[in-house]
Amino acid sequence: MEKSIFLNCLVLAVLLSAFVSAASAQENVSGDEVKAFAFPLGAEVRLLQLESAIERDILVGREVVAAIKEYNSSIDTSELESIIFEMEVLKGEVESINPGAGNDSAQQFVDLKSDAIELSKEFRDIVHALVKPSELEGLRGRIRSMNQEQFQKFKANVTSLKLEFNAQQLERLLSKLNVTDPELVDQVRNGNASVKDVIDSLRGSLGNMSNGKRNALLMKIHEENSKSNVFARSVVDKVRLNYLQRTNNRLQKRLERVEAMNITNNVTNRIQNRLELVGLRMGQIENRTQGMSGKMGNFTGKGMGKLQGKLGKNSGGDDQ
Amino acid sequence: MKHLAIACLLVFSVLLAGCVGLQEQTQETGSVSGGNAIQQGMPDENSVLDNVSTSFISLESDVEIGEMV
Repeated sequence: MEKSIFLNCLVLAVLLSAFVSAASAQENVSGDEVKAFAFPLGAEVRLLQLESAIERDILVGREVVAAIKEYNSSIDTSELESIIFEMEVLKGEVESINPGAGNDSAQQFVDLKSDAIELSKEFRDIVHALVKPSELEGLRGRIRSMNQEQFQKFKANVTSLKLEFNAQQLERLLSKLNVTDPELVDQVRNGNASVKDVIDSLRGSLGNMSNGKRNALLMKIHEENSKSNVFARSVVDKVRLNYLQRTNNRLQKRLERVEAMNITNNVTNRIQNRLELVGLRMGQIENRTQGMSGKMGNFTGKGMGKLQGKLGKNSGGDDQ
Repeated sequence: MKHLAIACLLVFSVLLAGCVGLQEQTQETGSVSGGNAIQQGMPDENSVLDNVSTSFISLESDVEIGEMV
């Protein structure tokens, strides 16, 4: 009984802290990370990277649950298992994002990444409360030595996509500059030239040009950079808009999906709890907004009243 | 009455000095930002190349969601 009360309190505290940190995660959208979403292949890379990170955490999570059960079979790991289950559902949601939808795809990526950050933090906090600090190091060692064959496959796919994307980016940039360098493009595609090598090569080419040509090319590259920065800015702005409403819609859909699976673990309770917290936060913001508009109304009402009073007096004087 | 006149004169001179200073400052900052605008016309090579590197995805880069332990 006491154990279950402790676990419930712990879960609630973790949910609350995760909710607060999720809001700040949303604030920390990296413009550089979402720039790739301007191109479907770049979006594919970022989405596969996120999927790979979630997959890795799922594998680690399963290993942690197995280890905790081995340490002490009486420890209740149901909450941890439900987090792993939700991560699997989340991975499916990442897979279903259309990479060709520009800043819409980027927004969904940032939202689901925030969810993944929230879930891994919840898991970590619960593990830290359940496992003794002396056992944590052993657990980390066990994770380092685990067979990650499945995860390595993901990583290999991500790497080959990154190389192809970088080669296409270089081709795109060179064509804007009316320059061709198929050798360098091939080197990038085969993984024999890094981003740093590309930049060094560009720097070298610029150094061999006359001032006029060099400045013209720099201006063109600058223009391309500006377009890319504008796109990233549009994503960051889009992500900040209606964040709570989007979270609410997303969790609602996830809940429906999980309920349709007829799962016996308590993942539905977890999502419902989060939905309640989001609803609470939305209510607070709505109240605050209504309060502010009420004050504004009073203020303008009083101001208008005074003005009308003055006008009334003046017009009364005129009438007389 | 005499004191009031001196006080008014003092306040007036302080205000006048303030206005002259403000005008000078406006002219100065105007010319500085004008200079910057000319310099801003030509982007710096290092910052342009640093920025262009962000349109590629580094092989080492990863999407971080945090550790489970």
